[in-house]
Amino acid sequence: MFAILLAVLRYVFLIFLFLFIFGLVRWMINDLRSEARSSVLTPEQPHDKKRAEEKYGGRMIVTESPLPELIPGVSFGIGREMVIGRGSVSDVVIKDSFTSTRHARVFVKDGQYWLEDLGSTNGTYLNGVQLKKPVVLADGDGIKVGGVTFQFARWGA
Amino acid sequence: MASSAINKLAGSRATERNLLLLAAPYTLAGMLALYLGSQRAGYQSLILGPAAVAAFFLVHLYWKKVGYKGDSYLLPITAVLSATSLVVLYRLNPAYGMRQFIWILIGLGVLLLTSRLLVDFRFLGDYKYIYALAGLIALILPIFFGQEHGGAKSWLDFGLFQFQSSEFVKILVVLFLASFLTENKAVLSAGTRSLGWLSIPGPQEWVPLVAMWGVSLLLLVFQRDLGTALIYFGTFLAMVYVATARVSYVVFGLGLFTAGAAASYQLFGHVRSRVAIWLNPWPYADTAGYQLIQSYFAIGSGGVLGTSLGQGYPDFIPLVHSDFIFSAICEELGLLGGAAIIVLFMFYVFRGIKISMNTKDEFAALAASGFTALLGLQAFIIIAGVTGLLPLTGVTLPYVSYGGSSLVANFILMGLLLNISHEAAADL
Repeated sequence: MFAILLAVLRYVFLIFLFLFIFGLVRWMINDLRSEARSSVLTPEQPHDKKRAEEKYGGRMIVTESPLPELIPGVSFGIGREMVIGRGSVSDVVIKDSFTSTRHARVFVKDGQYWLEDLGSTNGTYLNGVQLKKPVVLADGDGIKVGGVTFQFARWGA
Repeated sequence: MASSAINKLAGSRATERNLLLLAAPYTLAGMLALYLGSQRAGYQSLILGPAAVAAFFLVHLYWKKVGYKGDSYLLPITAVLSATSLVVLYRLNPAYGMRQFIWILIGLGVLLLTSRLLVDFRFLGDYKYIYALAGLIALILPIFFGQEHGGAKSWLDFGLFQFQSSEFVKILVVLFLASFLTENKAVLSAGTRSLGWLSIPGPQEWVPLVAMWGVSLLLLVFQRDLGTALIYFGTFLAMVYVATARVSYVVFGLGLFTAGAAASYQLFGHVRSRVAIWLNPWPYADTAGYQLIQSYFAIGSGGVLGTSLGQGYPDFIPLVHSDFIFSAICEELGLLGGAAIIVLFMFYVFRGIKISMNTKDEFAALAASGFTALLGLQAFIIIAGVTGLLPLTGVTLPYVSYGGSSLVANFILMGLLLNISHEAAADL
């Protein structure tokens, strides 16, 4: 009797291992489902930039610039994401030797605008302070990339 | 984005609690079966199981109390891997089980400290050249003062305990690479000069990368530690690919590695004999191939369901408690048990990749993907080694093999991964 119980217990050990794995799979699937659900609720339309700009409404307005092509007062709609840099693939191109190819980016996450430095050589400054990690932008913040300063406008200009 | 619902889950840590509740009976059943089934197992086996379960729960409760938002899956997965380690080691030799239990407690303590002190992990990115220097020193020291264990000269002896420096250096390697690649990513992915159709970066960008290749070869040559060299280099290639998305670097790196491997095959007898044993172990059945052949026998005699805990003969494999623990698991828990361990490592890697994708900046993303690649590669290389898929290289199976250095280093690695996910979840 004892021998049989022991033999059963030895296989129960293996069964518990699989129960754990099934639990793991179940919880992970739940996670992925809820993730999918919440991304259906807030549909993303990266291809439809115009509509995204209207929906999110944030803008970047040039306030100081040494460059002829960026006159103070020019404004850019941010949409879901905007990359600032010297490279021609950036959304806002700053042809300035203090600017890195992909210098900084502004993006939407959970209804907030975030500013992130993309590992630039000369840094990105938010209200005069160098950015260490991504931060949330507030209306009226001053952002300095290379020689150009922008003002962030949350609700459109 | 995909956050609020998951955030609530992660915030309450309910998933972690439920999964730990599933892990608890597994640990207890294993230790109970050992106690009832073996004369060698003393009363300690009845204490170790509940104590290990309690230790993992205490970590969970502490995190819940301080509102830590790190990933909810890594701790339960590690709990099951550690429980497997504890049960299998105790079954092999109660003394190993006791020592492993103490190392698990120390590992959990270090994990708590990591989640407490290094929670703002970003400052770690500021000291990259210090890591490079510290790492190199830690790797070179064993060459002169090291102890040789199983062909690899990578142990430092401190009298009271022995310490395998390469286990800790791997964390420094990932931090160094994450920091370096974040800084140089733009140049590396674009290339600064063109050579006809191919644009290549300047020497200041690729020289450090080639240096990294050199360091892993140095390991290979002087420490005879093939496995660690392979892990470092694989992690390095994975991180370069994540940073630049350029396949050419991976192809170039693999080419370099193949060249290095071919050269070391020609130059070093121990590399040649490893390959020869891998291709056909039978002519060496009584000598150098004995260990691998015993491992094959153990895995084969396990079958699908295994001989069941305590009923096999894994002791025939020399060093079964460290590198060959996977063979012992396959013998006693069968194909099912072995596959379960592999599945657990796959889930670990899956969570790691998810953590890396949810980060907001490149340093965090690169560090997370580096740690994940490191752990996944290490598990793959040793499992492939003992099953005969790759030439055998002596590395430990993370969280399962016997050994303090490896266990503590892997708990630090897990703590850093959790801190990265904590930051991503906390800032949302």
